[in-house]
Order: sequence, then C-alpha cells, then structure tokens
Amino acid sequence: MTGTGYVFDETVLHAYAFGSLTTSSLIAHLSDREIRIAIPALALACAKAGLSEEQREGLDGVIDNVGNLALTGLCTLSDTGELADVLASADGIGLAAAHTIAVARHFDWEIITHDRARWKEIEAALPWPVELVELADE
Amino acid sequence: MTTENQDKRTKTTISTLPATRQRLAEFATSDETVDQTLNRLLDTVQSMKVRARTAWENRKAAAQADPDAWEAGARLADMLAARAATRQAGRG
Repeated sequence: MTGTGYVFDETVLHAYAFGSLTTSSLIAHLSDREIRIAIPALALACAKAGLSEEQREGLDGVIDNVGNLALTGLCTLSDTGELADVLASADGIGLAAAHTIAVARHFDWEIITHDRARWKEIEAALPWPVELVELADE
Repeated sequence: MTTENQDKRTKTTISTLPATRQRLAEFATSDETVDQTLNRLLDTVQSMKVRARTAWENRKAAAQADPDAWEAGARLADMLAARAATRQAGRG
C-alpha cells in the first residue's frame, strides 16, 4: 500500500450504485495500483438513503471485496471531535460532506468527486480549502 | 449448503457471555441443535459474502467488456497514482 490515498465522495458512490462502468473500472485499476480509498460512513449512508436494496448491496459488495477500499467510521471520541469541528466550521454543511471532509483532513488525502459544483458552497463557507479532484464519469 | 455428519461430532467448550447464549437461543428454532443453528447462521453470512463478491465480479467483468469504460478507468487511475506519488514526494 502507498502512504497516500483518496476519499470518495457521495457522487462517486452514486455513480457506482447506478452502474457506471468507468467508476467500476477506476476502482479495479486503483486496486491494482494499491491506492487506498476511504469511504466515509456518513457519505455511504446518505448515498444509500436514495438507493434500492439491490444498489445498496452492490455498494456493500464492492467495499467488502476490493481490498484497498475501506469504510471509515465514527468509532472513537476523536473521530466525533474531528467531525464536530467540520460541522462547526460551516453553517448548513450536510453530514455526508462534513464526514467526507473530516476523513480527508484526518488522512490528509484529496477527495474524489464527479461533481465539483456540489462542493462550491461548502468551499466558500469553510475557512480553509477543500482538496478536490474532479473526475468526469465518462 | 451445510452437510451434517452426526458421527463426527465432538464435544467442545466455548466460553461465552450469558447474553451471547441468549442471542443465539433467540435465533434457534425449537427443532434444531446448537450445531444446526450455528451452521444456519454461518450459511447466511457466507451466502451474503458470496453474493457480494459475485456482484462485484459481475460489475468488473461488465467494465472489462466495455473497452472505452475499461480504458477510461485505467487512465484515471494512472493520473491519480501519479498525483498521489507527487503528493507523497512533496511531503518528503
């Protein structure tokens, strides 16, 4: 494993859930290159809220079976503190975005998104930059 | 998909909390042994894992069968790997 990695945001999880073959290929190739990917638990939960049971199982399946993908939860007091710091830094920030940012800041990794526009208001509201990599979902 | 061979059963002692035994009892049906209950639960978990693996392998195969998608994913992964390496080097 490399010492660095990326964090998937909700848009990437959605793309996979809705059958994006490019996202599937990306995940397979990132795994081949041993690049670590963090899946923030709250981003996953929020993504799942709008999905069918089959789509949810599809997401669970890829996270369970691709070794470089890891669900990142809220397991410790420190985790909750880091999330609370993000929530307190921007009014109205959603839980999915806040947890994605908290995870990215924890690991010092960039966030992969398919839709940077979704992050514009959040970026403007936060006192520090959000490191994003926008990938087209071809 | 479990087969039970009564002749090969052996006794063992497993240390559990009373609450664990209570949870297990709640999963058991009246006509099954502890061995059968455990195997039924293990089958359920294994089935979930197999189905999840199958779903991922099917999706990966579908991506591989689409040359445009497969190559696009490879290009993005290459770009991200290079970006990650540069970031790592920058940290010293």
